[in-house]
This record gives sequence, structure tokens and C-alpha cells, in this order.
Amino acid sequence: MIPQFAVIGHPNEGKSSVLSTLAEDDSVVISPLPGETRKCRTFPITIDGRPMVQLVDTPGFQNPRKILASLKKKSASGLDAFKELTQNEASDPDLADDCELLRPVLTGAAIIYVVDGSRPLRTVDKIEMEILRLTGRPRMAVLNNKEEEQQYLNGWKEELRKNFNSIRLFNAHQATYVERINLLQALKSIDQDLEPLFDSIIQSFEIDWQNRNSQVASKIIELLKQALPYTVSSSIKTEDNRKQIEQKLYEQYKKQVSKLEEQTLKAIRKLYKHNIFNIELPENSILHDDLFSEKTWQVLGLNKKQMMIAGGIGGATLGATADIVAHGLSFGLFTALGTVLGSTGALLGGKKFSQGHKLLGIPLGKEEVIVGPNKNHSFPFILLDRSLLYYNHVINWAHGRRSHQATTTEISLQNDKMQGFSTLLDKKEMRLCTEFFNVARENKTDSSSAEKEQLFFHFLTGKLQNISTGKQV
Amino acid sequence: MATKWQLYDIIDLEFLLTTPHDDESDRHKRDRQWYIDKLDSQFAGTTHSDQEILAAFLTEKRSSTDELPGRLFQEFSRLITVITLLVALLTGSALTAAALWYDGSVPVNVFRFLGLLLLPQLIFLFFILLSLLVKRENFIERHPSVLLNLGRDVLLKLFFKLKKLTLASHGMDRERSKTITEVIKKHSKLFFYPVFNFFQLFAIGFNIAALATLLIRIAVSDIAFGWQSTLNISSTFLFRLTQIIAIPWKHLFPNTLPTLDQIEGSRIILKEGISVLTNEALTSWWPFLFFTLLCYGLLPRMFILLYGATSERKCLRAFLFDQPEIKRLLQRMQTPYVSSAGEQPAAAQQGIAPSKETVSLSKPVNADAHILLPEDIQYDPETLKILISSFGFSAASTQRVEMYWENDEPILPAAAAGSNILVLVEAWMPPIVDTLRFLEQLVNHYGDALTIYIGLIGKPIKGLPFTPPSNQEIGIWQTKIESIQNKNLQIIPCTTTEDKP
Repeated sequence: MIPQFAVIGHPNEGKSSVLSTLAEDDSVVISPLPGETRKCRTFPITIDGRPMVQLVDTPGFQNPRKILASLKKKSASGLDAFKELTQNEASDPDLADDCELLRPVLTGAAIIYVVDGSRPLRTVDKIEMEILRLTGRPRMAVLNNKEEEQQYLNGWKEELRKNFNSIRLFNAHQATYVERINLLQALKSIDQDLEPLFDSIIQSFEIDWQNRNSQVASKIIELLKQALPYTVSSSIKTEDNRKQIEQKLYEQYKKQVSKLEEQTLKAIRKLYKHNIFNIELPENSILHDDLFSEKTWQVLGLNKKQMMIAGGIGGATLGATADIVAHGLSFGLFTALGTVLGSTGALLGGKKFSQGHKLLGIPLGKEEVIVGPNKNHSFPFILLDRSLLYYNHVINWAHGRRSHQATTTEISLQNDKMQGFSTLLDKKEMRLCTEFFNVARENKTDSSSAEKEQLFFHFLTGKLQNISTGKQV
Repeated sequence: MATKWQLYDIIDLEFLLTTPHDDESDRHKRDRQWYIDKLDSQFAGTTHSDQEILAAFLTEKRSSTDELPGRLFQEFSRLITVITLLVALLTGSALTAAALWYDGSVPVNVFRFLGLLLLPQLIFLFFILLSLLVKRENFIERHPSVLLNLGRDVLLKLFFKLKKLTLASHGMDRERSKTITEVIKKHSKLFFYPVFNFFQLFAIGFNIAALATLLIRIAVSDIAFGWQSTLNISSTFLFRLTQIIAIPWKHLFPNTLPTLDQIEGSRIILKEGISVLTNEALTSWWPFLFFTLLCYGLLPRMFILLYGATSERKCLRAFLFDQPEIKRLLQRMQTPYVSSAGEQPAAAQQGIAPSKETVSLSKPVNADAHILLPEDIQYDPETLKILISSFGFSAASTQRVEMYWENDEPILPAAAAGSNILVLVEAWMPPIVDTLRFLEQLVNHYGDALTIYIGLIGKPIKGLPFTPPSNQEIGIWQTKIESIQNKNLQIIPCTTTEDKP
């Protein structure tokens, strides 16, 4: 038989939120109106299609006093008393929720009792704890600190210790990947026999997480490989309309690269199973700003010193020099300038003629204006920063969360200061990144380029793992 | 096991991995299950490379899926190979026959023979070797040869024409046909080596035909070879030149070179005619010509073809395992599929969402009331007085209750006519059936003429014993009280903040 864990508690304590977050399922109805969960809903944890354990969402207690009073009158004890009670009271509509919530317990489920630790303990809570104690089933308590209020926690812990094998603090609205794993670890303490089972589940969860991080890294690499060499071009009929065409191509370039970025971010969100509810970015997130906005270029990417290092690694170009000079001065000019310099560079640099075919050195075809590839050294770091920031928001957006409240795990952003991960890179990491960006920009496919991409992939998965485990990035 | 990847493998994989465009999670589930069912048992207990897994995947899919598009491309490649070889054999034999044309009056000029059959090949060979030498710097990709690109474009256009004609006979649907086109468009650089190899194949066919024609003509007819030049070239110089040219084979076949006397004896001087030339000298050239064509025409092309074929496979393998889709496929197959989503679809939300609007409820002004105080509400008398007055009442009497009818009923007093009942409740504890039934029983107990007021108290925060309830809390209580449809129950929120102690 598959071990079951029934998530039980008073209405509106966050049972569904805990379950939604634990099961990474945002389809769970989390209603502000208490008592909306009327039927048990099963969440099987399966590995390769084999069900390992089942979590069961249950309705909240509606008549704890009545239930306890009835139990005390029964001659039977333990689960038999409960069975008798549910059989006798099955026809009472008032007790429908209570009978439903006890149903999985009567079939052998262990109990996860969820309470809101941000409110004071009340008599009704003690009654519920007493009912659960009388079941005799293995049980643990989850203190879901909904409003991050600390003053009642000790009172709760003291009372919970009397009735439960273990207690775990868990904020279903802010739980990170590590906290989810920790809660699963804690479930082991309910029943020692389940330890090997939970070890294998946790191992699979960790592999799955690493797998998803690898997929995110691949998606970011794909984005960089598409966006960095991206060009738009058009043929020129007369020199008079060159400016107009350049401006039009520049707009087209920005639109297409932004679209590529948007597709990547959407794919990242989907990987973390946020299928129904939108992830609300914090109010002051730089991700609200467009990829090519002045503010984005001010606060993400490289700082002045790093720009010079990147220029050194990538080869000092006219664009790089202009970047260094312009950085911190006029970013509005800079962003436009950056791309146009790319264009000018391309025009001067050789890809001047359509198809690139030459016969004995004589070019074939007509002249074209080419915008891109963006040769600005900060550009790939900005794309990287934005992807990592978005990843950080996604993984910290618990599935039980339905609206935005700033959380402690999210990176706090200060206006007008460098905010991205790139500014934290050391020289070795900068070199690794820049070398891959050069490979991506030039669309190289030789073995040395593949090696550089592989190094960047490992670097990126390491960063993602660090972000998800809350380690220093 | 080194799998020899071909272009049609890539086309088939592209088709299998890009259609249908289903969800990543579904793909993981499907591919992992397939891996467990089909491959895990096959590779159980042994280490297996990504190449092996991918090859097994492709083999299995080919046997279990309808016709894959790669076969069409494979057939086209075979057809082009046959056509190339046929054209090469015809061209080679025709050109050699022309070069060996001999009517008995003037011997075949070895310079003309080599100039026609070998010189153009050597020029092409020089450029090919040059481009391969500098390939490390991506020379070919950056400065694509016009000839190779032209060749590629012609072959691809031919393929598209042929594809239209053969699609119906292969039963290929539009989706499959589209995949071939997409692969060609997306990965056109992959077609460099196949086209390169077709050129080598042509050259090999050409040289084989040339050598065969030479041998046949020598065997079945009497051909005289000689040399002539307007320039002042001495026989000794030519002898030295033949010695240098024959370096690759002269040690193995020393008798294949004309001697100095034979060279001298085969010099054609127009005014002297051919009668002075010796028969031995006139026939001494053909082995040299044969080996020259073999060593400088056929063998280099065979080596280049070998290099091209190896490079093609290397390039395809590198390309294949560099593809994000392939990497993802291998990852999906080799990592467990974990699911924890709910079994049944979530039930649609029932009931009415509580209002977030500010709730305005009328309240009595300084009326006396009998206060029912739940056991969890603990205030000192002064605070309680302020709290009660914030509801618009003054306490005539106060009584502790459990909020459980069976226990509270015996101790509840009968109400005096005209008096009010105020039940204090903590609004942040949502009303459960237990509470609602208690309130209903309370109405029954005191009769229809009396209104029972439910005083909602907000959560104690930051040292304040009570606060006004939030609009959401009021909304929840209002919704729940309305749901039991009892007009004698009225909620009053604690609203006055100036009354805070």
C-alpha cells in the first residue's frame, strides 16, 4: 500500500497553500473564503510513473467540539471510535467536512497538521490537536507562518510538542526549493520505516531540480546563441534613405531580440510548473523595464572596471572603447550607439555584400545595411543578468502563493545601483563568459568552441544551483 | 561502439524531436518511459554512451514509426551518387579518348594528354588543399568557394524538384516533407562535406575512366606517344622532370619511366617527321602517363574523399551532440520523471468571494447589552470596557461562553425584554459550522424579537490588545452569516481606532 499523508487543519490555516507548494501544483484552489475545500484531493508523488507516497488535501475542521464530545462518549477507542463516529454521523450534513477529513486517516494515512503560527493559539486548536492525538496515527505539525509574526510561535511550539512527533516551520508563500526538500526530510521523522522511501524521493527531487537547472542553462545558452549573432539587414537603393533604413532596422532588431528573451523567460517559468498564475515581479524589479531601456543598461551588466576587463579579453574594439567611455554618462545615447556601432562595424568589417560570395576576391551582389550583431561587451551580461534575475523570482515564487509580497529570499533591488549577478563575477569567470560570448557571437562550431560552451554551461548550472540553494552567487 | 552518423539520421531525429510540439514535462514522461521500457533492460548493468542510446532510440523509432523523412533524402543521395559516377565515367572516358586520338601521322603529345587530363585536376587539387590547410580558421565558412556553394545550391534545388515528384510514391505527408526542407535551411553548413565528397567522387570516377580508357586503348590499338615544344627544352631537362614526377612510384616500378634515350627518341620535330623516331621510344611513355594519372589524379582524390567522409561524420557527430534538442532528449531519458501534481482536477471555487470594499454597518449608540465573552478573549476590565463601547454598547452584564451550544445552553440567562445581546468574536478566526450553529441556537433561545449582535475584533498586533478587523475578515463573516439566512444576527466590526487603549 502506498503511504499516505493527510494534510489536516482548521479552515484558512494554509493547508492548500502548503500542499500546493510542496507538490508544485498551482492548480490547487486557495480561497480567501474559508471552508472551500470540501472534498479530499490526492497528490501522488510518482517517480517514473510509480507512486511512492500520496499527499491528501482535506477540508478544514468544522465541528471540532462536537467531534471530541462524541468521541468521548464512545466505548471504542483509537481509530475504531472514529470509524463508529463517521458511520453514525454520515447523514449529518454539518459533519460532512469532518467525516471527509478523517476519511484518509481511517484508511491509514499519517497526519500533517497545519496551523497558522502568526495568530494566537486558541481552545479550538487544542481540541483539534486532541482529536488528532486520539487517532493514534503518526503525525507531524507544520507551523505555516502566514504573516511572519514571531510572537506566537513559542506558544504554538510548546502546545504542539505535547501532541506531535515533530514540528516544522514552513511558510507556504515563501518556501524555496531548499525548504521544500527540508520539509520532505522532516516527513521522515513521522515514521522511521519510511526513511529509505523518503531518501529515494528526495534524491529524485534533487536530480529533477538539477535537471531543470540544466534545462534553464541550456535555454539561456540558446538565447545567447540566437541573440548575440542576431542581425537584420536590408538592401540600400540610394544613400539618401540609409538613415531611415538604419533606424527601422534598429527598431526591428530590438523587437526581435526582446521577443527571443521573452520566449526564454516564458520557458523558464513553465519549467518550474507555474502554469496557471502569473508570477508577479516585485514592484521595483528591473525586469519591469524593457531589455533595451536606459535603466536596464544602467543597473545590469558590467561595471566600469569589468567593462575594461571584458574589452581586454574580447579584443579592444571601437565599440568597446566607446562603451567604456559612455558607461555612466549617457545611457540613452549609449544603448542606441552600441547597436549602431555594431552596425557600422559590420559595414566596415567585411560582411558588406549579400551572401558573402566572392569570386577571385571580387564580391558578388549588392550593398546592404546590416544592424547587428551587437558587439557591446555588456549586452550578453545584461541578457544573462535578466535571465538569472527572472529565474530567481520564479524559483522563489511558491506555488501556494497567489499575490506578491516582498520576501526575504528575493534579491532586494536598489534604484540606480548595479543590481545584476554580473557585477559579482571575478576575473576568471568574466574570462569564461566572454570567451563563450565570442563563440556565440561568431556562431563558431569547432571543437574548441564546443569546449568553451561546455565550460559556460557548467558555470551557469553552478550559478543556478547556488541561487536555488541560497548560497552566495 | 562508434556510430556512423549520416545526414538522413539528422533529418529523422529532427523530425522525431520537433513534432509534435508538446509540453516539456509530457516529453520527459514519454521519453523516460520509453527509455525504461525499451532501453533500460537492454543496457542493464552495462555502461552505455550517449551515442549508443541515441542510435538505439533511432533504430527503435524507425522500426515502430511510419516512414521517416530521412529515407527520401537517403535515396536522393544514392541517386546523386550513381548519377555523379555515371557522368564522371562518361566524361573521363570521352576526354581520354579525345586526348588519345591518333591517326598514325602525328604521335599523341604527352604534354597535350597531361594538360587535358591532369592539369585542371591539379589546379583544383591545389585550391582544395589550400582551403583544407587554412580550414582551422573557418576559411571555408567565411569565404565560401563559389564552386562548392554553387554545387550545393544546384544539388539542393534538384532535390526539391525531385522531392515533389517522389513524395506521393513514398506516401510522405506534408509534415515529413517540411522537416527535410527545414533541416536543409537551418543547417545548410552540414551540406558542405556531402557536396565536397560528391566532387571527389566525380574526380575519382573521372580518373578511373581515364585510366581504364588509356589501358584499353593501349591494349587494343597501336598508339605512339611523343613530345614536342617550341621552347628550347632539352631531353635532359625533360628526363629530370620525369624523374621528379615519378618520385612516388619509381622505386616500386622503376621500368615505368622513359629513359633519356627514349625521351630523345620520342621528340617530335615537325620538319623531320616521325620516321626518325624509334618504335621503342614512342611506346615508352604510356606507363609513365598511367602512373602520373594514378598518383596525381586518382589517389589524391581517394585520400581527400576519405578525409571528406571522416570529416563529414565527425562534423555530423559534433553537430548532433551539440544540439540542444538532442542534449535534452538524452537528459529526459536518463533522469527520473518526478510528478507530484494533484490527481483529480481542482474543483471550481464555490461560494462568493468576500468583498474587499470598505464595509459600513450601523451600530447602536450607548445601548445596554448582555455581553457573551468566549473563553479565549482575555482582557482586563478597563480594556474590555473600551472595546465594548467601541461597538456602541455599555456592558449591563458579562458572561463567559465556550461557543458550544450543548455546554453553554444551561448557563445562558433568559433575556429581559428590550435588552441586547453582544457576542464578541475574533474576526481572524474564520466562522466554522460549530460557531454558526451556536449563533443560530442563540437566536432560537432568545426569540425572533431580539437581535444578536456579533462584535468582530481584529487581531492583536504590536502590543495592542485589539484592532479593527480587516475588510476581508468582515467580508468572510458577512458571507458566512448571510449563508445561514437568519435576520436576527447582525455583525458589527470594531472600527474606532481612537478608542484604542
